[in-house]
Amino acid sequence: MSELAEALRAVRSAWDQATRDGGEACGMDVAERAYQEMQAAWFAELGVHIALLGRADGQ
Amino acid sequence: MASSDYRQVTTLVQRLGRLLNPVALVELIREVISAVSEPPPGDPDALDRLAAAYRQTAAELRSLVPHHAVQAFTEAADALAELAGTVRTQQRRQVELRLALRAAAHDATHIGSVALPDPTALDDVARRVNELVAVYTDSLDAADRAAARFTDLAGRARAAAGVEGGLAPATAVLLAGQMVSIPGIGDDYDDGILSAAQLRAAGWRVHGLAEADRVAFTGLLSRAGSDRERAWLHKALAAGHPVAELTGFAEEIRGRDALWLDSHLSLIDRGGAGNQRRLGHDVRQYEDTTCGTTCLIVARAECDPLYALSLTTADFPARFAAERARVHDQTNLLWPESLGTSPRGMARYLSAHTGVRYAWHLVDDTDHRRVSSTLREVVAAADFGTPAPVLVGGPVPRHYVLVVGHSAGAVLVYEPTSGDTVRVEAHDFLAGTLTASTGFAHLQAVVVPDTMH
Repeated sequence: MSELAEALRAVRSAWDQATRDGGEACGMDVAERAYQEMQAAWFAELGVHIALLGRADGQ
Repeated sequence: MASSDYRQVTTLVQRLGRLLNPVALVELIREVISAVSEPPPGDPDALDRLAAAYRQTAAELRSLVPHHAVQAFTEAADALAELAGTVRTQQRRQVELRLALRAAAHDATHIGSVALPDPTALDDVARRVNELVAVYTDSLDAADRAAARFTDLAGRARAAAGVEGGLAPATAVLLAGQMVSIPGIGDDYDDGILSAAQLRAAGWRVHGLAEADRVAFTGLLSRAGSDRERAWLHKALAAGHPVAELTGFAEEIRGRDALWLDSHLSLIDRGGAGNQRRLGHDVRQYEDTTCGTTCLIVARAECDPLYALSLTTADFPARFAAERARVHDQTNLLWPESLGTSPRGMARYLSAHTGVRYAWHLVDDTDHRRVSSTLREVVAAADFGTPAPVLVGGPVPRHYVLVVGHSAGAVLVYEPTSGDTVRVEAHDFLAGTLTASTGFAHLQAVVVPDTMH
């Protein structure tokens, strides 16, 4: 795993821990659900970039 | 009342509204004071902490991921901070008004120190109730706005959608970064050549190809002159065309520059507001009853570049006119032509030609909450790259517009009369305030992807 991939993984992990359970703060359930979907979508999106950076290092 | 329950707050707003009847008011004052003991839900301090975490993450991502990803985290921080401020203000106001209502209620139910109704003091009670209705209604609107912004941001995580469909990470990131760009139209909205849904579908299609087709498609990609061409080829595959049909398409677009590709393979640029023209010709309705038809053609072209090319490849004005006549006839078998295209006809046509199953719904626009939740579905469809027609009118249905984008608190609407894409504040759009953008006051029906229900 490249240094950049590791760095991105660390950023994602810190962000996720700080915000993963934050949806309740939104109050209304419609906002809470949308928040959770956003959180999950960007967790996956950053995962794609982690994979890409790791692969670039391996080539 | 459960603090996170949207329905409960909606019910409270309706109950408060009933109290505006003076006779009922006195009997229900006690119940009202109890009901409004709960503040509008949300934790502003926690929201501020979330905003700070998203903002810090955006800063840390700058050297690691493309700009659009950093931008998404920044916008999420902005949305969370705005929601925190709104909730904080609403909660403070609710406390003030509840105290004022208690005082007004005492005056309205006592004359001096004797417990007797005092109709002369009811005005003050009614005013406080109205103000409380406004506070709770504003809290629902703020939740709608925040939800719409979060959904918009989720829809921008497009590379992940491609990988979920089976594309390799490098391919998904490359395709997700290709945007439509027409001079004169900005880049304020996410106008990727492939939407998240199309990236996912492209992955599924590639993996579902027979070996010979897979080899043929790989060959088309390797002979393509640019990554932009490859994005358009994937979009064509996602639209459902067999690889054999893509061969001629690939040859037609090979070596073309970005402007040629974008102006021949789509009919509008969803990147911003402006006059939408193709090959010197306005992309608009030219007849009285083809607003719906024009929206259908534009929506289909947004999903299928071969279809767009069939119109733009030669003599666009003539082909566009012929297509309006053809689609109008095809979608109006029973509905009177003078009324334009029926919502049912719109949904059927889009379901048959975009790969997305659409449904249509009439909307009672006297119900503010119903309008807001319905239009939130329309905006969510646009967030995921799926255009959604909206039928507006006066006393009767009169006009279609097409919602094609949403970003940072504003909705992008294609208006077929002028052929412009226009920016509408999300707050106004979700409230059903459409007169300025559509010329009509009433929302009549929406046509949205069926997965929204």
